[in-house]
Amino acid sequence: MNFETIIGIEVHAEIKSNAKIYSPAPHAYGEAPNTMTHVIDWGYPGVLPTLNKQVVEQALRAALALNCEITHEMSFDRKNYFYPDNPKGYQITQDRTPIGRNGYIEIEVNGVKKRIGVTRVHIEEDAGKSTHYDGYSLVDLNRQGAPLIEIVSEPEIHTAEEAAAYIEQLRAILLYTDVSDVKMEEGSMRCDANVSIRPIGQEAFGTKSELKNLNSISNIQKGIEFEITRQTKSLLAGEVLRQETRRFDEAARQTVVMRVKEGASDYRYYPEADLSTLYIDHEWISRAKASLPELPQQRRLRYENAMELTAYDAQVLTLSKETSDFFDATVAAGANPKQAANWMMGEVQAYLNKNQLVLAQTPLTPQTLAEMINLIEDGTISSKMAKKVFMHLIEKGGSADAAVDKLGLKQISDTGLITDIVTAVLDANPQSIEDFKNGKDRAIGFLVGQIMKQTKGQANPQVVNQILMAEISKR
Amino acid sequence: MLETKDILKIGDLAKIELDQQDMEKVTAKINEILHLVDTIQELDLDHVEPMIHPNPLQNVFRDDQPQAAAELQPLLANVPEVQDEQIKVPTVLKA
Amino acid sequence: MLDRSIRELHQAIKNQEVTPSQLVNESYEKISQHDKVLNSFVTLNEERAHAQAKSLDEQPAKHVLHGIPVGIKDNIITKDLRTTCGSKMLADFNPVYNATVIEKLVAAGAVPVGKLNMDEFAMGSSNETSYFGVVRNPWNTDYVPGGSSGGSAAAVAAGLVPVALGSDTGGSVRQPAALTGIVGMKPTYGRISRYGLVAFASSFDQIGIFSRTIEDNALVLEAIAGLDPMDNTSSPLPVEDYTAKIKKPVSGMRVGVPAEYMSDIVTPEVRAAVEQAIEIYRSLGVTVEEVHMPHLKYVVPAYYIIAPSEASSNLSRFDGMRFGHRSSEATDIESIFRKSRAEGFGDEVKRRILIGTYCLSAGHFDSYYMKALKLRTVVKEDFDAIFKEFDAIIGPTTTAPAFKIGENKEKTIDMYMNDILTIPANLVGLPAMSIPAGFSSDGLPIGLQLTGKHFDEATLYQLGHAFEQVTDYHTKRPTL
Repeated sequence: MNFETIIGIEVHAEIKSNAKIYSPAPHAYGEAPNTMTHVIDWGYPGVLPTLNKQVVEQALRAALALNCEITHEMSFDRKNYFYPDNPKGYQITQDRTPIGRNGYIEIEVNGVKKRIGVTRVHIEEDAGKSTHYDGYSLVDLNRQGAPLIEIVSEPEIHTAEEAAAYIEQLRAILLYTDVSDVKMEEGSMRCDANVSIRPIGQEAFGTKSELKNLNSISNIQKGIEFEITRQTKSLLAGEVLRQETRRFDEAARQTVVMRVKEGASDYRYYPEADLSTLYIDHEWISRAKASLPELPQQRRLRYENAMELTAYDAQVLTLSKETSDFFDATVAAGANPKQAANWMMGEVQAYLNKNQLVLAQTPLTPQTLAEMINLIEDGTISSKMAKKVFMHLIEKGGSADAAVDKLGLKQISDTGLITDIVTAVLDANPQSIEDFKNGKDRAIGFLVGQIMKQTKGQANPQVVNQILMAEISKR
Repeated sequence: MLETKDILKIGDLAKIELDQQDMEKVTAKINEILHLVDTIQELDLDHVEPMIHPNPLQNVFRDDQPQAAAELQPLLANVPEVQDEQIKVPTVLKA
Repeated sequence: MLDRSIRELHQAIKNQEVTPSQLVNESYEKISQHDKVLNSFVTLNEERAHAQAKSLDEQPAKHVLHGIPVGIKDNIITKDLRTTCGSKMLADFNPVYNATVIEKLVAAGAVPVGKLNMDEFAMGSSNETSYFGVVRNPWNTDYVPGGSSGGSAAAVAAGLVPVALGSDTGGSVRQPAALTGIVGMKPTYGRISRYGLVAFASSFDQIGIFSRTIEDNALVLEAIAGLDPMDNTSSPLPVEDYTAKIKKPVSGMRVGVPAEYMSDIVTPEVRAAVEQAIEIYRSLGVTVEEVHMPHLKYVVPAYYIIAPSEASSNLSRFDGMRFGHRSSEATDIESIFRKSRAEGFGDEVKRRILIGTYCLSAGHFDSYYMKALKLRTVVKEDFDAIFKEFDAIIGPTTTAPAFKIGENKEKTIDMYMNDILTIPANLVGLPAMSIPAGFSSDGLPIGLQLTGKHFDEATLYQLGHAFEQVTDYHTKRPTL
């Protein structure tokens, strides 16, 4: 029997802001426990929520960037549940009137473009943080009330690669719009995936498992792959799947059960009377639209069409806004786009990965990278030398010209000078000339080697070749 | 009419332990109240908009200016059990 | 001294006939004389009140409330002063902040002398559900003072304080004011900040004011009303100069009396008192006509869906984690929640939480909570129709005068139905006020309720003041 996989993804991303969503406490990460709270965050008797405007602005921008229809009139809702890090006993969220609906994200997997629907985007608050010890837990309320947006996809994702691509694109969009810093490792972006399989042709969804707390894109992919295999094996063995919440155990490379779901939770959602109505008119939407930067999808199209990059290159370059901005600036500084793309995806990325750095932490600038690329183009340095120049630029900084000078790497293209050296080498190696004329091509290699040795490798190889062949033919 | 088991289920949701011995009385009282409120079911209000806010206001916001955080010690003084300036509770089943 | 009006006290302070300290001392003397019986105060603020009064003694009396002792219902948060909500759950709770109304009162120079007894979490109409015991009606101590702000009403009626704050979710200011023969104002929803009022039903709750006269009441409202950045639902409309308006003549005003309010749901004595009030208004040149509240029958059901629903959520924060009672029997999280709440809440509170949880639960939300919200719209339309033609609505505040302590304790439905006349204003958020309008044959006070348009407290004060000028009910005092 053949199965198809149905995946729906829920992403929570922390919205960038100075203060929390419903309290004026600072919104900060990594501070000492309970030092970033307001009495509102403790759910004290008598407190009331107020609404941070910036959070609404940011959520609106995110919803627009995700191509959503905007809900004009909204109210908030309470989601009721008891938990030690949920101080009020309810979370203030948007259940009935999410800020955005019916959006989409465009992804590309193996050269195939596809739209994944975004069911809804809504605003809510984060909970506090429980840290678990042996026999007890400690609750820190610094994170309580941090603003979140939740983005729910349609169940239109069919493979682990698509899921990874969806999250990569979503991440890029939130980064470009500056809505969130989307650091999965710090928890400012958290992903849950609902995975189910069904026999091809069957309309009803299979029993899903909810994968929780997937903390990297690679784990999302691995977790989903494991789930598909596990569910397929189960069904083929004639087993009945249970609806479960599972987590991905990174060390064991498998998903493990956290709990079995018995009936739906009853959160008793109802309208939050403590917050007045939110009304977003067309003018506000226009203003928010105008504030959006060029988004990854638009950028990819520009790279493909105006710069003639491949779809793959365009995709890779635009995943990170920093990389893409740097690339754009390098091209603007006069570099050939294809060359610039190769350098960005090749040497630059390799260096950053190896040293666990981001571009801003290096002295490399778009101007110096462009200069260097142009020095290769005009023959001042060879590609081989350029690697040394690049290392200098990214480690020490300064202009490309200065680096070339400092490293003594200027390529010799002066035909007069090269002719003199070629003549001298030929004079000293008559046997090699003889060998060449007797058909031993290897002799040329030896001669070029001798010439390069005399010029400390700085002679332009193309010029050397030309002159060498001309001079040999004269003998 | 709700039965005792229904009331116990509601008690689970509301996180209130109910005394088995009182259940008959509690169930009877709640049914009495539900009987009263069920009067509203006589009305057809399908086409009426619900009133969430008795004083309809729109777009009341706070600026994104953080205030100094609250002093921690008085807050901790009300917490039944404290450790490392945090709220100490028996192990939370991992959600 | 404390028997005088706020304006008179203010003049006396300015003339140096009396100091704030003397007023505060007098208040505590009266409390120590009478409150053993009445039980209106749960916690006294003596040390701080004396210190505050002493410092006020030295300052010029700029504000009319300078040096005036006030009582505070115990569901209004006071920093470092125990706030119990009449519950075992908060029997040892010391808040770390002040409600906005407290900040405003203290800034004006008013002196909070203590926290007033109330039905637990404001759920009750007789003050019999308080963990701290029943409050007695100063007019007859065998009788309830009403609720839930029973302590506030008793303290003002007995003259322990000239004014007190209460809260009104379904009549909790107006009903006890009526049963103790004083003025009780529930302003428009959004007129006074709710920040620091422990929430019962968020879309109904409003802080209200108890006083012996209309003018005293208006003076306090002027001081505590207004926009609060900490309450997203507080109104930005400017606060009116109520005291300037109250003396304007009422002749030419149009007032409606709902026929349903005067039906046999009220006792003949109450109806007679209202009818007499109607005649008094007519004699003042007010046009009084019969109007209709066609959905009155449904207001109690709607209220007892919405209020418990919202309460079930608002009271979830009492979970034994960060403050309040934690069961000593509990060993795991689940039992901390379940046992702390079972032990900390009284029967009526638990009952309402269960009802509310049920009304919000899956499968019941639309037919209960949502439907009740729709009924609010219908009731609002009923009021709108009346206010198109009338300036205010008058009628009885309660269906009967005070009842005996213990008499209705098991009659839950009867007790709920008693709120039928006060609930409509809460459903729609309208201002409503009870004023003294007579006495029963047993010598128990009867209240007249005035309901106005949104944010038109001024008209209610004006009508109330006019009535006060030609009647002497407000001058009567219980014998203690």
